[in-house]
Amino acid sequence: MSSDRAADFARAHVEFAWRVARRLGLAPADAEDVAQRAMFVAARRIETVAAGSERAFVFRTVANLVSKVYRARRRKPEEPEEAAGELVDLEHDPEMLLEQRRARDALDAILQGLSSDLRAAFVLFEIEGLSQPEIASALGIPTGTVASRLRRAREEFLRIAARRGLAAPSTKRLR
Amino acid sequence: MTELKRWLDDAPSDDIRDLLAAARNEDAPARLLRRTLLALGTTSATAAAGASGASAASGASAASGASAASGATSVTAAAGASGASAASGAAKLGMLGIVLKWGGAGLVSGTLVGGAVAGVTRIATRHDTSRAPTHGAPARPVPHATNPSPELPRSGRAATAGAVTPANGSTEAAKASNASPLTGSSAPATTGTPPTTHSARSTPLAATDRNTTAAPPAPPAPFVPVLPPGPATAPEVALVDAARTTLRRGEGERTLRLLSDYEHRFVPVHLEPEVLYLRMQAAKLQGDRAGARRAATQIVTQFPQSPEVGRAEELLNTNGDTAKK
Repeated sequence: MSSDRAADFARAHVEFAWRVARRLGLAPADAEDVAQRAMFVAARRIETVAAGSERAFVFRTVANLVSKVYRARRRKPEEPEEAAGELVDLEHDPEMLLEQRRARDALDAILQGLSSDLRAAFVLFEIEGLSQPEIASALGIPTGTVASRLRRAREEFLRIAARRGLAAPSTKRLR
Repeated sequence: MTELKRWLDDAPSDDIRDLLAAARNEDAPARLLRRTLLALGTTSATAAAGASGASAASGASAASGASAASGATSVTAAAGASGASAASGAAKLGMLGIVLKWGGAGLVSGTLVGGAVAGVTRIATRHDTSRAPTHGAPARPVPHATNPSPELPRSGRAATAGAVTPANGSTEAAKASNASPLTGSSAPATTGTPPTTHSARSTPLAATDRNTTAAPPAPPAPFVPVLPPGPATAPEVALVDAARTTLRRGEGERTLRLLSDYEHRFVPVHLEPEVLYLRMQAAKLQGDRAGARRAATQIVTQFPQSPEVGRAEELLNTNGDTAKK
């Protein structure tokens, strides 16, 4: 394995790995550990990762590692994570940062209300911007199933968001 | 098959777009990539870490070894050993993560201690023993003490903190470990929040005393709280202002979290009396009478000249009266 290639892979995907770990419910510090471990795994298996499916590979790896974290803690993923230890970025306005944190907390709370299948599809599509074929590859499901999961995830998301007073459900943009 | 339109581009409501954008824009810590690349980097980096750790340990009269013995774990030895193993056999990719993790600890501890040994003469001639750690500490944000090296995984960082702690009996260390009274109540004892940076800096001084002047160890100096020099930076003021605002809104828990962020972020703590005062008020708001008394006591005993003393004494007297009744 070329260490240069592994380094390039990490440069391209470590933040993606971290964000996915965060959206799957890990605290920032735990997400860091998982993202780093995911890059180790990628470095070992980099020869087997097909071109164009890197993010799918990273997602699968991160999802596995996250589930191991939860298993190790003997805790359910649905339990909210303590965000203590997250350092404040002081280059920006603290009030704005607080608002963003609040928004992320609200989003995570909504995502926790989705089933893991729907949540994965939703996060990869809406937040990480993967295409449906990429999501299909990451989740190991047909593309048509991705579309139906996305549709259900959106409906569920809107329902939970409306309960929290965040958005009025609207069906016209679900499809 | 046509691709769905993403909500980030066409959200059902602004609220939802804001939620998704906040998540999409959440930045991973800057240290994440550095730390990952360091770990992935090369075995030579690890070997260098181990070698520098070993040389530093011997060059500085085993200062690191002594600290490891007095600390929680023998991390420096472990780091050196794993660094050496990395030099000889790091080709085993299955072991790469473990080796690099501990090798990284060796890198940091070796760099700190080795660099300190190299600069011993300069430091010895310029050092003002009573204020050196404070002078040495820059008035800029530094990471939390449990994170002396952001490149390392958390376990490695903790190990490093232990590795650079000077041997017991160092007056600098004693002062440093008392420098922030908040750590006793809000941080684990082994992490020693702000003082770790000071401790790292004071290591060469202890080594200097032992190696070059052979002076008898000075008795521990009495703790004299000293406010760090220099004005607070704008981000510090901004964060304390934010804490004050949230306190005014009655959000005690959020205030305490902001104050913790502040204390973790800035070493030295320039606005400590103000922070203690806000902590006292926030704890009071939360119904945490013990926490409020603790902060008030720290204000009265450590910053008797600060304008917050009156309110602190008032709180202490009120609680004392209540307790008597």
